[in-house]
Amino acid sequence: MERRKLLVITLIVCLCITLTCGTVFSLTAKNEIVIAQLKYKGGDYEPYKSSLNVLSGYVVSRTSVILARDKKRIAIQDKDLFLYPLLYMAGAYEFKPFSDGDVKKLRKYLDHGGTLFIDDSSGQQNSGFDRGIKRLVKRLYPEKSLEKIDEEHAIFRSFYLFKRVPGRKLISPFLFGINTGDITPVIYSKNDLGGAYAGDNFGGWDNDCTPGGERQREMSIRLGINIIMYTLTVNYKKDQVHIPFILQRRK
Amino acid sequence: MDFLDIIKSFSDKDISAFNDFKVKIGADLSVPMILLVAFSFGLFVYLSFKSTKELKNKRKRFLLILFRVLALFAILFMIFQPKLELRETKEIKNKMAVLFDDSESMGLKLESGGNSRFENLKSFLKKNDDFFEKLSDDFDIDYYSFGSSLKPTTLPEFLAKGAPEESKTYIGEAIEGLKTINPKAEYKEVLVLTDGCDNGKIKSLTENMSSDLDKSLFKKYVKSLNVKIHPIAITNEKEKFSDIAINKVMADQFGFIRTPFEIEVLLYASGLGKKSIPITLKNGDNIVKALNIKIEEGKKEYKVKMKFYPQKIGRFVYTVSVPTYSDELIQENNEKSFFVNVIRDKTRVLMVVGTPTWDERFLRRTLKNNPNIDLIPFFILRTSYDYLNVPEKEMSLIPFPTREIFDRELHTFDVVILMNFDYGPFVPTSYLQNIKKYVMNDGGGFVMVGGDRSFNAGRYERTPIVDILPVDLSVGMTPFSFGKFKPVLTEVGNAHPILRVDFDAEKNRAIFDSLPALEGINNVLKLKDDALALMTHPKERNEHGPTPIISISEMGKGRSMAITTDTLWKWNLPYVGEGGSTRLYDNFWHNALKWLVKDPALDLVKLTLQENTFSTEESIKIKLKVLDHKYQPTDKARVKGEVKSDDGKVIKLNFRRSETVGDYESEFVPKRDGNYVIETSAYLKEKYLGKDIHPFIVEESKAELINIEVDHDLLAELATLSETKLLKIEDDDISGSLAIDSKKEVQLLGKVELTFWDSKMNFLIITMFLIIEWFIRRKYGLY
Repeated sequence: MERRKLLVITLIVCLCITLTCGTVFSLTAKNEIVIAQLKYKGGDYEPYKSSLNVLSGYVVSRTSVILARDKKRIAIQDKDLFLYPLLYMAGAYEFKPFSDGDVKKLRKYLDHGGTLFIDDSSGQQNSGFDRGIKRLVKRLYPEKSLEKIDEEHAIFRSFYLFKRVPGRKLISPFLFGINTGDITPVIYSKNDLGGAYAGDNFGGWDNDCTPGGERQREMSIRLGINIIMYTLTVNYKKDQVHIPFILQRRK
Repeated sequence: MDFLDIIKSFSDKDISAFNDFKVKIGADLSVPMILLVAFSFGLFVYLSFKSTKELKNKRKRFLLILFRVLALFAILFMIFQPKLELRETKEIKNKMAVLFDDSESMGLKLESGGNSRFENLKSFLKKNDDFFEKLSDDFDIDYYSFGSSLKPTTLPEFLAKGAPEESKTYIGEAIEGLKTINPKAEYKEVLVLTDGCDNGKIKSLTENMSSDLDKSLFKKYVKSLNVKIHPIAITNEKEKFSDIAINKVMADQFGFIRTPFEIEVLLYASGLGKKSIPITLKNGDNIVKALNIKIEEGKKEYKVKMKFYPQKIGRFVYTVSVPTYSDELIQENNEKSFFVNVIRDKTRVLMVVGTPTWDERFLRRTLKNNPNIDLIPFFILRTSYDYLNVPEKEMSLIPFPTREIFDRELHTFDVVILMNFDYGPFVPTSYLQNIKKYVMNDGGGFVMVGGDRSFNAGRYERTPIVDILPVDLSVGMTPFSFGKFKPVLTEVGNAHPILRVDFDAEKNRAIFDSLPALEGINNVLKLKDDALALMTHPKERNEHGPTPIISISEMGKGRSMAITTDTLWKWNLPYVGEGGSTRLYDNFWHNALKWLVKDPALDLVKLTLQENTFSTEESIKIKLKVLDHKYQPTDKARVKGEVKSDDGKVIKLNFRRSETVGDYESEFVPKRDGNYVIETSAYLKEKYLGKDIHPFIVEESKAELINIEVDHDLLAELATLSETKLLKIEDDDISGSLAIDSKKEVQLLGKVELTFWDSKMNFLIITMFLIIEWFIRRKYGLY
């Protein structure tokens, strides 16, 4: 009995060490990559509480990137905004217009290396959130407008190779974005990617993915990984050394 | 008796000296006036015919009209006021210059037991003395000898010379010099007796005459001389000699490190028969390239291309040479040196990243945005521990090209950055040895950036990499320390160009103090003895001192840098959030790369010369710029310098301060040909500031003997452009072949004008004609 007890205790200790060794011995335990979810007024800035946590788990298990499990909720006015180079903005409803100061600060953030990933959670065409985003982008970039991100963009090859844009719903076959030079600081999905990730820690999902089911969910997870990888590596996968491999695999 | 004699007999003036005349119109009549006169004349003749219509007798009518016309002519004579210009003229001979080549190549004996070209020239002059005598009937001849200068001479004086006296052949400059030495002469014809071995302006204009532009430049130059050049080639068909010469080396003044550098060697070979000759390219005593060239009988000129890859940044003198043979006429022309300044086209940076992080994200962005940096990044996006449930064809991942980057291509990079990279799963230890050699032996730059896979955490403490880090690692030590901190700028760091963003030391320190805090460090044992800590941790320290955050060190021929944190990116976007800019972060990395690749822009001691190639006895001005450790010009430095020649001699240089602070000057006059190197170093309060080296070439006096063959092509081109003919001293009929215009110039010595219209006789004639006409009219009953 004593031996069995000892064995159980040893197993539990080993399990704990195994689960935590990825962070305990990491210099970046305090410097993990943390995704910040943008808080804004009006509407619902956090339609799915768990989606980023779930996606982080997939990023850590499938790639070399060390992503914090917990996200940071942050408002534009927060003094720490610039410590989080990836900003996730989700919602289903129209929201209150940002103040001029907030727009200016957000533009400065984007011009100096920040990335804003926008996710329309409504699962509908021309949602209130979509209208709000179009107004916001027009104020952020009066000289530009949201454009379709073409299939040769580094987002579609930063880790996985893509042909179509998935999500919880297939509202649009495209991602949209604002391009400045050779980078895309604003990325916009209309397919509710966050909805596809939302779930519990035991593998249960909050929403069905339609019409493609679990394959569509898997592809949504892959696109989420690609977007995070793109913000970290930008056009790395467009470097000459990768092109022959990618062309061969796309045949 | 001619017309002039008749005039002289009528004239009451003394016009016996005049030997020519011209008839001129004295009246200054406008065109309308002439037309009016002509019209009046026609009208008068018409009216005369009409008014005499009544006369049936034709003879009477003719007589009447005749006298009217005669009277009219006499009036016209008065209107036009003709005059006679008597002239005293003299025929003058045109000026001709005869130029004798008095250069060193003329003195060479090119046939065994035979004469030199100089002796052949003198024989030719003696043999053709009647030709020159005859020529002097038509031309006023001045004789000159020329080489590097033009000197007046006479035929007997030149014939009395024993040997040529000049060291160079400047044909074009000699013809230009005629205008200076005798400005009044205005030579129209110039006879040049030469072997055509020019090494002056004409040679430089013609040696690469392949393009239309080159031809037009030469044509323009010959036209600008404004004389007819009659070249006479001093040649001898019996000339037979053995010689091999490096005529010219065509090379750019600038080359790029590790990039192919191609030179073209123009080789001349004569009398060597058929053989294979080695041609060697050296940098000092090191052979850079060697190849063989096949010499064929009958072919004298060869173009040889040589390609090499400069391996170091800096100024270098390379020498191309061929062996000397015992029976060679000239052995001094068997090598030629050229100067190349090897610079960096772009700094080629290899960046190997263990995992994508914000640190990598912002460093990549900074390096990619710099057009002077060629960034080759490799990121580990997935490790063998990561879950894989996707077919490979659905992923964009490529195998990590370990061998290519750490073996085959490693030498092509200027800097290698290992950023949070755990070598274990990817790189065998033997390849880490390659990185060590790349830094220590090849002069490469190396950076290790911290993270959970760097330094001890990457298990580098027992690898060759630890030998090239500025910090020592200890086996078994705790790899990390956590917590936020603001690194401290050391005294050295505050003055070092890597961390210099403001020239004012206090302001510079204040800028770094204002930066956002960093977080977490890689622990290291200590800073190596020769390394410098630019920034240290404010609290973390051991018995060796504070933990270095940014440290640098010279490592053999290369340089190395260690950054013991992975949060330096906070100097980028987060600093912008605090009101700063990304300029500091960008400058830090750009300066760090410049320092790592030993960019000359960061040297404290800089040597400059006005040229890279000089001639003997030419005064070489040497300038030295010295900065102190704070990168400020200083006039308190102790400066040493010496010139080393390739025969082993060392001459000390004395430097003096110039008016500009930080500038020092010296000069050197080389006494002989060869390759030289100036080495300078500077000290401030006995502290070494740095050194600079500048090689240079002294070669010009060899030019005369580089190519000794008579250059018929050059002389023929000169003749063609002057619309003359190339002659050779063997030609039988020199005088008949010379295309010389012997027409003399007529000089006007004096003149006098004789007028007739205003004489009494003219009035008398007019009156007489009119009276006769009136009388005839009356007699025939006309009124």
